[in-house]
Amino acid sequence: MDEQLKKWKQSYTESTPTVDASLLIKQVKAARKKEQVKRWLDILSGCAVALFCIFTAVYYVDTAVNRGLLLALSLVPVCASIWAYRKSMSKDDATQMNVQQLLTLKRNALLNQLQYWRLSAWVLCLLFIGLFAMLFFNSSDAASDKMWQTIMLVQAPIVAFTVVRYVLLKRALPAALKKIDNVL
Amino acid sequence: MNEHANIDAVLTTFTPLLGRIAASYETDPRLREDLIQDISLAVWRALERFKHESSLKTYVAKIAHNRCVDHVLKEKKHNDRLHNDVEDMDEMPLSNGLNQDTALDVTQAIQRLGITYKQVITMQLEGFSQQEIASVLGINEAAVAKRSSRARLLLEQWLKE
Repeated sequence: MDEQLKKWKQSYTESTPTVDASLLIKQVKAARKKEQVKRWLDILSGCAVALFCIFTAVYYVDTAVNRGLLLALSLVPVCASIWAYRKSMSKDDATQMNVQQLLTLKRNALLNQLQYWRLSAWVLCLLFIGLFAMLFFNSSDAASDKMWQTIMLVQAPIVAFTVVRYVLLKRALPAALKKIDNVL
Repeated sequence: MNEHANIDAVLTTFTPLLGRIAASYETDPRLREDLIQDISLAVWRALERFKHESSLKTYVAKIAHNRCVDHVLKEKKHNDRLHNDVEDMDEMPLSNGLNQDTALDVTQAIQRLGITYKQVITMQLEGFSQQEIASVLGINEAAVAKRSSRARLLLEQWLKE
């Protein structure tokens, strides 16, 4: 280290902010515990919902089709819990990377996010059109029509939200990518 | 080694390092405190995966810089305030809120640097070799030398003002 750097190092070291290490350790331990509790709660709640679906399928459902559907549905909370757990673990992987890799990861995450919402918007729109087609071309009685209308009414805000979210993310993407590029 | 004893020892040893790295990215004391906590938590999580491919200090510094970059990306206001990717040294903007009559200290000058230069110079001041800096930042040693040279020119000019 040359003289200039040594001089700067001295000034730099002298201006180290005061950090209470023992308080920091306490805070970090509390945050870590909270994190671990949350992870376990995610897994346990997913398993609880899955067990509830299985229990209902076995003891309260009459038809084989409905039983099969409920049993298939029980996989959803389990998969969601596993996904949430893996997502939290992949956050740990990100800290191991060098800065370039981290920024590439963030760019890819943004592009994947947009792709996910694009796909969701398309799928939901197609499903909604399918529902409309069911209502329009398969009208049998008032009760059945009302059921399909209710389903469409419930689905409409979900479809709208997904489409709007996709459009907003698409608009915000260039600026978000530029922000990452500008970091370097 | 017991997990808690390990993190106690690591944080006790490296808290000043984490404080200085955080201070080079964040000027707001409250946000800096949150950032230091965030870095410390990330270090704890990462300790389980430490494979001794580098020194523990290098590993901790890598995690700290990664979390700081993450913090910068999230704190848009912070990014606008600190980002100083100037091409022309003659047009360097004045630092926010600093009295022009007050000489900058080294830390304040480092805070003005763009992230590219900030990372290299802070790691040099912490005593890391060019090879270690290159591995943390994911660039080659020639790039480290170039950034270091540029950062030093900028710091020299600002500290003379």
